[in-house]
Amino acid sequence: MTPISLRCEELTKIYGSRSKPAVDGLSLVVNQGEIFTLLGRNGAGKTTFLRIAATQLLPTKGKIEVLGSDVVADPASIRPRIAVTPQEGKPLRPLTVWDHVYYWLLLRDMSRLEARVRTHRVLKSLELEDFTKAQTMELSGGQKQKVLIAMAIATDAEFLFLDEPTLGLDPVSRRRVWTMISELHHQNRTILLTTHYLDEAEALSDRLAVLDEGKLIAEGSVEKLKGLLKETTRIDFVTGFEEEELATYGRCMRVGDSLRVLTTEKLAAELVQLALARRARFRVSPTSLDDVFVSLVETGDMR
Amino acid sequence: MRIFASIRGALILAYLTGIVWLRRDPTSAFYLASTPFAMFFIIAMVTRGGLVANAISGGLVMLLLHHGLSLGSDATLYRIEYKLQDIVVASPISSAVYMLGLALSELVFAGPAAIILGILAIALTPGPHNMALLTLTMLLVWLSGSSLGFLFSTYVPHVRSATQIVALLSGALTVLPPVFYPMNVLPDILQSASYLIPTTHASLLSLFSLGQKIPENWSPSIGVFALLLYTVSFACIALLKARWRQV
Repeated sequence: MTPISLRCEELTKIYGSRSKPAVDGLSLVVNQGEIFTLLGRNGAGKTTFLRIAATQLLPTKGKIEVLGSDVVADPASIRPRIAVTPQEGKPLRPLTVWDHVYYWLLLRDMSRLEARVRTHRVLKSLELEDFTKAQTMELSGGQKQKVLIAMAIATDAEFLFLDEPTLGLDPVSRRRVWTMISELHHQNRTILLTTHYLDEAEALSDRLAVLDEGKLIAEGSVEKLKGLLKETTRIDFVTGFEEEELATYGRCMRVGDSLRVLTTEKLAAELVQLALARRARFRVSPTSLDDVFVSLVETGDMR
Repeated sequence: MRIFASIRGALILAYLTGIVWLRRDPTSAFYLASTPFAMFFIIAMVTRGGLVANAISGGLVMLLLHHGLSLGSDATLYRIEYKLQDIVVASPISSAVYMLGLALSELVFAGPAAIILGILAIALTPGPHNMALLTLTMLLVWLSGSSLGFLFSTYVPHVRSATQIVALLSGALTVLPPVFYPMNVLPDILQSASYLIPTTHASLLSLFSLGQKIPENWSPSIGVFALLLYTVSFACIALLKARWRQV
């Protein structure tokens, strides 16, 4: 049986005098060594849940354990074993990239030698080695974000909490971070990730949870979540069809200038024949996690 | 964390947010020292040197208290803008280490101005015992201010509020009570009330250290006891009541 890194039951968080919970009766389990991703719209409760689990925020009610210890009653035994990258954090302006990572490791009671080796390695992996001596105020937004990521992943923490870590990174840098996260995964470290990038969630996650208005609305592997959607094919039409006509083939929605229809393989074949006859401009692709997510949180209808 | 690791942690934090910061941005030391020096200058000039001891003593008390309280605005900035407190909370570093590290860094910023005022104080100090008492007094003022600063930094919702609280507390504790001026200019009832304010004792202790006359109904041992009591109380309240984990 796989050991459990996080277990929560009926976890609820209500901020101050608000009546609506930010996290509403959440129950889930994160296994050791797994990358578990939280998805959801803005304000869905992802960051609140992550901050509670990382011992930064007290829940209103419910039970939550991380690495076998109660988050509310015994945070001191959890804290040495975890590390976080906060959402919208910033490095301290006059300190250098090296200062941030190296001294952070020393602060966590690591030896100088190990801290030096780890700092070199992580800065090289994140392509920050040329900026080692640069003060962080001289860096771009994406580079600053990489400094914060480096501070978390350079530690020896067993459980990492990464709150939208790749926000603002260019596509190449994002993939660098993915590689680093995958390496941590291979070291059997547990990662709780939040993201709005569904390709990121798809590429990295062992399991995902979709939150909406603080509630858990779906949970499982990427394949399991994709399986929730009956439609397997997505067709985007730029020309050739009206919304009403496409709606007879499946779930239809407007995406920018085009019309998107999610449909079954059989109906897709018919529709493609018709589109070719009409010389319509269109693109066919399999349904993605993106489609599942939109269906879950926008319509709440998976048919 | 073990004691050695805690001290090491506080010193590393102080080095990063104090020494390294000051080395790369030295103007910050002058900015925070400007008010105590302005007060010192005005009092020394207006009294043509007659109250120079009060000016030095007041300048030192204001400098150390203001730098202690400034921990509040810095810690608020680190918590809200930089999310540093979030990173530190989810780590082995305790709130005591974090507070001590930031407090030491404020002491670093106070250093250049404290050295100048300290040199002036040495010229008036009768002996090494008095200098030791003056140093102890200033350390207690700094610790009290740091504890108050850390406490409110964990509650205030905006960085601007923190800056305003520092200015308000600093003014209320160093301009209103007899810190820059002699106690005997106050009416009797206000003289008694002023003994309730920790900076009154700090000021009287530093005036005593500088060889100045002190009120007959007050003694240095009362001053040390009162200041110690305030410092320990503020430190305990800060460590027990500061909102380390948000609610």
